[in-house]
Amino acid sequence: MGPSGGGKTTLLRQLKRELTPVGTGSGVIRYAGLPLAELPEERAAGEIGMVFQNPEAQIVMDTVWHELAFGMENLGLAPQVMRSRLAEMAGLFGLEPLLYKPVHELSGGQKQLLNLASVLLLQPKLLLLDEPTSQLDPVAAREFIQTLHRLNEEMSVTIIISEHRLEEVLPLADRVLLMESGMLKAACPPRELVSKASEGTFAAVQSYLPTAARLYLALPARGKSDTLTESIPLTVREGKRWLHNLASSAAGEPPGGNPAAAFGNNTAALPHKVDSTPLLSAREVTFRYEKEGREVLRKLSLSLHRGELLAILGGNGAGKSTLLHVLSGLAKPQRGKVELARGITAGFLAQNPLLYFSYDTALEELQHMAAFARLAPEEAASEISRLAEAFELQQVLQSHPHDLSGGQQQKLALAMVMLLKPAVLLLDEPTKGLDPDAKVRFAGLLRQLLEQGMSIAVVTHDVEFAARYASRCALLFDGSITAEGTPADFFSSNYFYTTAVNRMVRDILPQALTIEDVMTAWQGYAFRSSLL
Amino acid sequence: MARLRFPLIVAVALFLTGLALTAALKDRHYMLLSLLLLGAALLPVFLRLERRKLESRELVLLAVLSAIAAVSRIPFAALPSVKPVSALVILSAYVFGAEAGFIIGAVAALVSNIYFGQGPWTPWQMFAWGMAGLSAGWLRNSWWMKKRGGMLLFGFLWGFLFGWIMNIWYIISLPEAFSWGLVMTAYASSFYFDLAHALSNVFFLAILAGGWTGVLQRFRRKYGLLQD
Amino acid sequence: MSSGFRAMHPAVGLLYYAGLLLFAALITHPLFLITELAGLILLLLLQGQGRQLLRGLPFYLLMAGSVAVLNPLFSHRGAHILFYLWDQPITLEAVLYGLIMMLVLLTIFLLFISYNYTVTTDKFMYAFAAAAPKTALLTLMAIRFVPLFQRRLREITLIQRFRGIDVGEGSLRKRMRDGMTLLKVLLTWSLEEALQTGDSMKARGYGIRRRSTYSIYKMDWLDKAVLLLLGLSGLIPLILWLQGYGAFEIYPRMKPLVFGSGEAVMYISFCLFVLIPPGLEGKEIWLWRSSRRKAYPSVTPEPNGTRSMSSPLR
Repeated sequence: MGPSGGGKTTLLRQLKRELTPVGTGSGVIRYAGLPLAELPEERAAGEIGMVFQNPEAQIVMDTVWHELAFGMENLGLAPQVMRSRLAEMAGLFGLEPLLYKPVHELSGGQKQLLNLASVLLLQPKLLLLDEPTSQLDPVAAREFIQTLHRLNEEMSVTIIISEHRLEEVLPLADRVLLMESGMLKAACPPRELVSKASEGTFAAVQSYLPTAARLYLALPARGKSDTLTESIPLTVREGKRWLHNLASSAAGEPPGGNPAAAFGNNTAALPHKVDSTPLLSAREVTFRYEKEGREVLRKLSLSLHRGELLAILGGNGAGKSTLLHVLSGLAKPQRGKVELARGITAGFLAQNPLLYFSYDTALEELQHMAAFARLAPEEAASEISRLAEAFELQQVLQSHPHDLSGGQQQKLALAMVMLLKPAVLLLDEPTKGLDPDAKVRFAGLLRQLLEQGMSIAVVTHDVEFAARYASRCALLFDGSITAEGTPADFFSSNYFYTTAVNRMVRDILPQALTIEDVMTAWQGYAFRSSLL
Repeated sequence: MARLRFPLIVAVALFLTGLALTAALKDRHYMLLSLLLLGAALLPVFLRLERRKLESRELVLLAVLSAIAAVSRIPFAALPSVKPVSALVILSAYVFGAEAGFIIGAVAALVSNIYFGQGPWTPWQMFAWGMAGLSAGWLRNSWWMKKRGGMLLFGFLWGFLFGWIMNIWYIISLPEAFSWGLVMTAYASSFYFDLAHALSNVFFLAILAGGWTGVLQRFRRKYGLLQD
Repeated sequence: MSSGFRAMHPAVGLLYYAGLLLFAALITHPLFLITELAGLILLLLLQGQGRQLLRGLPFYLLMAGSVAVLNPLFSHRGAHILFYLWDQPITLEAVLYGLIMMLVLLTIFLLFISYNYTVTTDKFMYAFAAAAPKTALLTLMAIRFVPLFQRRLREITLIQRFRGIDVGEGSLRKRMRDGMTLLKVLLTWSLEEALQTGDSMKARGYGIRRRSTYSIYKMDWLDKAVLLLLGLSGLIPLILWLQGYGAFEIYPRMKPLVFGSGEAVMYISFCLFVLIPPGLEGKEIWLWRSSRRKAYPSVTPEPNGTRSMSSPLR
């Protein structure tokens, strides 16, 4: 683990000989006692498997069975061997119903599982994974990680994984390596890392830890018995147990009264001066892609008010992206109306920033966009420099947009959208693939925009992000909005679909969604308990 | 490059002499013979592709360019003869060379016909687009090809050449009637289609040339792909 | 979906269509051509491709018909002059030859409709991969990219509308330029991602040794039997044709059609060749129909109108 650009990918590629980047290097990497460079080609390719970040880009062949066979064909295995291995793997992964499908009909999660399966067919002893779940939705990501866990437990495959989504991965890990600017900062079991993180030098690690561990670190009143690292909670279950022990030792009795009152306005970290007139509203919108197709949106009504950050949550394929397309006017609904307040425009940022780029440098992109927005040259120049500064893009203005990092590409695309001076901003999964620090920075950016009086609607899978930063949440299910409310109301009424913190503390503090909530409430709670 | 050019010239020459020869001998089975000769013309490049050690990145690059050329044909399906494929193949060959150009052209024809339907025209299209790529690759270092006007003229000519090559398979089904009159009729009847193709080539090349060669050359530089 | 002739080993389909193509080009005897054409139409109908046939028919008739017209206009050889057109003799031979070539072209067109249905790209590539593995790999990769790129192009089109790049608006010049801008975005993006694809290939050992081929097709005894039967029944007419049987000589002077014992053997064998696949398809259809009627009459009752709740309880 470690921040983006810390050298995780480079390290993994050093371990996979075929992909070692060009450059100068020193030192020796040994695999099973042999220097990696001396390993026979076939062993190097077969025994060290690697799965990458982007599920789509790794697929080579047109159908599932072909893709599965690809690696084995490369190693020149005999047809009989290939057949039995493939049968085994298809059984293990439940790929049989998909075997003859063209790959473009698979979902993102299925694609990534296919990539994993086709690497496993070479029977690797070491599996390298470079942020394999960063492009997946939470359900698919969990499934993927569960599969890895099974491989590790049942087949004892050695797995090295780099991840930002540590909520699920860290509890499964035997050892954690912390990388930062090309240096190995720590290498220890996860619980040890948590206890180290409480000390000063590793404080920056905190944002990467699972919620339970962060809560453990955040609460001041840690019992005396908790000095043992074994008792550090990593999962929700462990966290809940630990918290209950702590609560009973602190209070000796269940809490009374409504602790929600204790944390008043803290639920939304972003300011929201909500105006009652909606800037953007959709009334009973129905949309389908084809005449005979399924109704993706069904009599959906939604409104966005001035100065608010609306988070639209929903499962996979619930039509979240479609909703944004309709709200932004990119798609016309068959029935119903989308109304934008007079004289304002809506900006839309798609999930994939690459869709926006067509020129050779970042600066050119911005200039062409400014020209399209009909800004006067001087105004354009000042606007561009202002945006570049606000979005931390000054250093990369002369670079090719495709050479930027994922986060920078997203910011550049957002800056391009901002040149249109939209009053309403619609964002599709903006936190996908961002590391925790980048997420915080991105939230800061949104905060600035909100302070400037913009309204933002975000479509997201990221429950934690919505709970922390949204002023209002809405759930999209079966084509319409089924629940709506402030994060506190919205999530505390959910049982599963809520933040990890809430799942841990809901018995004690039903409305607490974030660690900050718990911290503020806890003091009041502990204080009150000690009075009794 | 030189190693490649020789067998190719031989093959193309073989093809043309073969056609001429059979016409002269008044054999009846031109259709089969022409298919065989087409195969012979396509063979050398693909044979070289098979023999050559290709980096995986180079292989993917060829596949991507072929697929983009094939995809570009789909939105224009309604307009007969307006096929950006020729322009894309010429530009790819201009950057990546004759061999790559031929392969991209031929594969694009084969792949796009999965959507448009394979038929007796498939090998002819493979040949025609392949040759467009091949010739563009050969001439890419000539002074006039480096000029914008030269490239546009080249595209214009290929619009007609493409049509003429495609006319061959039609004409050879009438061996007995073969005469300059028939050739003229066939070519005159396809004139407007060929003209549309030629003009659309010029148009596509004119707007694509700068941007696309830029993008392709950036990739070539960045990853050292398909250097001769 | 895949049944009968279509479900057979690719080699069977390839042999059949190659054989038909060969016969169409070689044997110009009208009886043989008409038989082949009828066999193909029967096969297409049995394969449920009637709609495809109808859709393509106008174009095919136009192309093939023009041959029938053009030949007598440009070819003036032959002994039987029918009449003069613009001082040019129109001969019976030329007319007949034009008609024969029309049949040949029509046969080839129909052959390819059936071919496109039976020998899917997968099968073609399977047969091809043995001879040219790299070319086959390259083609398969391109085939995999096409639907991906189409989807990307749709997304790009949608998003770029935001910056005024729209093929649906403005002058023709602007629209075409915009179309090319969209393609350029697609190109840059796809090339960038292609490098990751290349890495993923390399990571799985591409290029370290000669590739083997995995095949989902298995040759069973029926495949072998049909292959053998097709081979034999195809070989007989071919050999007889080389001996000079079944020839229909038109130029320079039309000879009467002969149909001796040699031709009879040739024709019977030819019919067998042409009709084996329709036979297989027909058998399949009959099998399913009869099995639905007889084998499980009680298991799948047709739901009709009101459904009785008591039936599962009985």
